[in-house]
This record gives sequence, structure tokens and C-alpha cells, in this order.
Amino acid sequence: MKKLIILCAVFRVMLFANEDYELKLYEKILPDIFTQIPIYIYTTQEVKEILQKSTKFKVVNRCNKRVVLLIGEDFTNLSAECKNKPVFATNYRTFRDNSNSFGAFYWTKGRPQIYFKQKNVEKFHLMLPHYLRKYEK
Amino acid sequence: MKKLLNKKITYIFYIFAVLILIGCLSIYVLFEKTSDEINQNNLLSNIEYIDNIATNMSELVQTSTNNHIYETLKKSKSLRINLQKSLKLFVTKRYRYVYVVDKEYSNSKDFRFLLDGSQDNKAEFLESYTPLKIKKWQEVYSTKKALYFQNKDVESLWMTYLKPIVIDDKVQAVIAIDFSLTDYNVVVEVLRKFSISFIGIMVFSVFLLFVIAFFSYVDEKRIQKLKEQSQEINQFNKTLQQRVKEEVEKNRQKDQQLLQQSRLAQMGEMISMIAHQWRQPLSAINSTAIAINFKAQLNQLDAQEMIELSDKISSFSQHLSTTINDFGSFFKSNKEKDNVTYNEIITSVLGIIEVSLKNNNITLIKELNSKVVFHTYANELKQVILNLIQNANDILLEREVANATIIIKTESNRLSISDNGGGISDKIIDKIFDPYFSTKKEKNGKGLGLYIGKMIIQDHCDGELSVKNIGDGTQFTIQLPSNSSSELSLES
Repeated sequence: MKKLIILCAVFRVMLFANEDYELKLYEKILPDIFTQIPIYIYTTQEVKEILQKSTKFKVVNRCNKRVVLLIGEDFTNLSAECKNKPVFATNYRTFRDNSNSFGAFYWTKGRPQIYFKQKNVEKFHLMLPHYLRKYEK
Repeated sequence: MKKLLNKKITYIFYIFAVLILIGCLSIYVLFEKTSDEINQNNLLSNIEYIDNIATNMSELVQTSTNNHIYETLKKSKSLRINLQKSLKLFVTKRYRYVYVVDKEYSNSKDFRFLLDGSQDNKAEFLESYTPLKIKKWQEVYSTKKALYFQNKDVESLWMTYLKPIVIDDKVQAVIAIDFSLTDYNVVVEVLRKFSISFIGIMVFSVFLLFVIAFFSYVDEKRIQKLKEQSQEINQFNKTLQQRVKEEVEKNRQKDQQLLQQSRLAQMGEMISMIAHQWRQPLSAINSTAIAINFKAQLNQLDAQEMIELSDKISSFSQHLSTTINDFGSFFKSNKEKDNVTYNEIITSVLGIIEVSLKNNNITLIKELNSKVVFHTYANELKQVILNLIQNANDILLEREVANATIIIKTESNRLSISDNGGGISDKIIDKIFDPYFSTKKEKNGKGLGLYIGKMIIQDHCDGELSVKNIGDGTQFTIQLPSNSSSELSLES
């Protein structure tokens, strides 16, 4: 059932390539992975505006110890306490190169791409729901 | 005949309408078939063109890599760059994404980029890629044949063409081209609009057919109703004609009765007139008889005197006889026309009534200037004139007019009888010719005299009888038609 829901969510994302549906995707998968609400998120990217619309997320302007997740693609100037936080990438390069990235969601050739790194999922002691395991690398 | 023609026209119309409908349907089916063919041909033409591009790309990649695509590209970044530049040449607004992917293992589900001809957001070498409709991509690997499919889900309406690069009967990589269907869709949309228009026209035709059928039905009902009404009217007309005939006959009988009543009434008055006429000769006869008797008793009656006196009695008796004849002929119903003048008529009428007028001290003035001979019903004309004079006599007596005078004038075809009896009230002057209208009810007036008079002059003699008030009395005028007359002198 959950798989169906996520596929529907992805499908909606694909169908309209709309920010609202990106938000729905985040709202669906992140609480399932982090099992807490609200989730404190730090991001410097354009995805910030999308995430701020949700009540499930608290988007902070400065990364602090309450932050449990970083979302975006450029985390070069992070404070010390945030350097080892899990990263959810918004492009392939970050997903591949960032040592803390455990997952990614981005668009390639008009198609949505969603991936998870099994190694980092385990590193951060995250519980990947069953319906997301097929996206593990 | 007309009904049959109408039915035929209706049937022809229905057949025509059904034929139009069948024609429309046939055209629609033909159009749909042609439309599908156009769409299919248009799409195949596009695919054929893209296949040519993909074949060229395939040959370029194979030639450049000596049939070792992954290994060669992995080793040579410059070759990747050059090949990507070549692929980029094919990228247009219409051919949006041109790229080459492969799978690390033939049984792997994941794809990875080898080459990407995109200008922006270029995928990296060996970047993971999860396409939509992945089964189609797998199918290319299994069948080793190119295929295309529609992506309704991705960004906009476009298609993906997948061309496998097969080397040694093994799919080494897949060339993917995402191309727009805008042109194709324009054609499809135009044809779709045509199709909708056709359906609209057919629906409208069917609607029109029903509307016309409905109005045809209503019209037929209306014609049927009109026909029934027409039959009713015809039936009513037949009845009406019969009724008119009956009413005319009733009126004729009524007129006859009125005429008879009028004559009887006049006869009553005649008896009074006869009494006046006979009084003098009877008195003279009586006097002569007394004279004979007296002279005979005195033995003074000689033969000569006896002859003279008997001649007198004979003369007086003759006068009485003449009077009777006059009255008798007056009431004789003569059905044939006579040639007669106003003067003759008036002389005859006055022979009956003049004594009565004298006895009533009414002055009679005659101005008889007409010499016209009329071919008309003389006795009926006499009745009318007698009635008019009698009416004048009655009113003069009733109103006890001093110097009572009746003037009878004739001039050409006009005859007028006027009196100085004070005239007729304006309130009733228009009604005096109506039947049973009388101002002499107390004196047993029947109210028929003037009505009959008018009827005789107008209907029998084709003339006119009119009335008007003049000075201190009334004037009745009879005008007979000139075509019933001829100018003749009395002498002739």
C-alpha cells in the first residue's frame, strides 16, 4: 500500500513537475525515515521555499544541533556541529560525492530520480521503509 | 389527390433526410479512417526520420569506439567530449534530449549514462539513470529492436525513441531520443476538431430531422383539423341555404298576408267611401221616385215626364253601377303591367276619395304636369296613392287643421302628395315605413299601409317612395323609374 502511495506521489510529481508535488514527496518519505515530526532541516538551496510550506518540517536559517537533516547540494561552509549530519542531495554529483549523503531526489531528462545509499543509511542509523529499499544503491 | 401528393412529399422528405443521415455517417466513418491513416502516416514519417538520425548516431558511436563502446569511452574523455558535441548537433527544440545509456550488467535493472548531447544539466559519465516505463527499455535489450513510446507523464506530450546499438548480437548501448509531438499533435488536434464538427453536424442533422418531423406531424394535424372544420362549414352552409330558402318562403308568405291584411283594411275604408259616393245618387233616385209617386197620385204624370224621370233614375243607377265598377277594378289583382299615366291614376283614385275629402272640408289642389306613360302595375300604384291621400285626410282630421289642404303634384316621373297637417316627428320619421308601426292605434291602424306602399313601389314597380317634412306638413314622393316610362303626350 505504501509503495502504491509513493508511486502515486512520484507519478504526480512526474505528471506535473510541480513544487507542490515535490513537497508531498518529501512529506511522505522523510517522516518515514526519521520517524519524528517536525523534522529540523537546514538547506541553502531553492528547495527551502518548498519545505517551508510544510508543517512537518522546521527549516532553520543557521545549522545547529537540533538539525537532523541537510537537504541541498552545496554544504561546503557548514559549522562543526553540522558536518556529520545526514545529507539528502538534490543532484547526482552531491549524492555521489558527499560522504554524508544517504539519499537524493532530482530530475534528469524530465524524469524523477530517487536514490538511497545503503551504506550511509546504515551509518546514520536510519530506517529505510520497505517501499524505498528498491531505490537503494 | 392533394392529400396523396402531400403524403408523397412527406415520404420523399423522410427518405431524403435518412439518406442525408446515412451520407453523413458514411462520410464520418470515411473521415475517421482517413484521419487515423493521416495520424499513423504522420507518426511513422516522424519515426522513420528519427530512426535515420539514430542509425547515423549508432554508426558514429560504433566507428568512433571500434565497437568497444563502454571501454573506449571510459578511457578517452576527449572522445566522450567529441561524441557529445556530435550528439548535441541533433538537439533542437523538437529533439529535446539525445543521449546514450547502457547497463553495467545485462541483467541489471539500472541504467547509466555514457553520452549526453544536452546543452544544460548534462548528465555525467556513468551517472545512474532510472527511466520511466522501464519495461520498454528492458524490452529493447531483450528484443534488440528499436521501439518508440509516448510519454504523457513527462513534462509535456512527447515521445521517446530507443535504438539499440547491437554489436556481436549483443546490445552494447541504447540511443535514446526524446522528441516533441507538437507538429503531430497539431495535425491530430485539427483532425479531432474536424471529427467533433462532423459529430456536431450529425447530431444537429438528427435534431433537425426530429424537429422537421415534429412540425410535419403538427402541420398534418392542423391540415386534418382544417379539413374537418371545412367539412363542418360546408355542412353548415348546406343547412344555411336550406334555412335561407325556408325563411325567404316564410317572408314571402308573410308579405302576402300583410298585403291581404292591408287590402282588407283598405276595403273597410272603401265601404265608407262607397257610402259617401252612393249617398247623393241614392238620394236623387229616392227624390225622383217620390216625385213620380206624388205626380202619379195627383194624376199629373204624363208619359213624357215619366220618361224623363225614369231616365234620371236610370242615370243615377248607372252612376251607382259605375262607382261599383270603379271600386271593383280597384281591388282586382291584375298580375300584368299596364301603360298608364300619373293623371289617369290620380283621376281614378280621386273618383273614389274626392267626395270624402269634400265632405271633410279638405281642399284638394292638383298640379298635374306629367305626361309620362309608365308601364307598371296600375292597380297597385292606385292603392299606394289612395293610401297616401287617405293618411293625409286622417291626419288633417285628427289634428283638426284649419284650411286643411292636400296638394297633388306630378312632374315628369315624380308624383308628390303633401299636406299641411303639421308634419311627422323627427323621432319617428325613420320608422314610418316599418311594418306594424302606426300612430293610429286607437283608430284601428294596422301599421301596414306605408310598409306595403314602400314594398309595392320599390319591389314591384322598381321605384322609390320617400318622405320629408315641408313647411307645416309632410310630403310623400313617388319616383318611378324612367326605363319603365316613355314620353307620350296625352293626345297621342
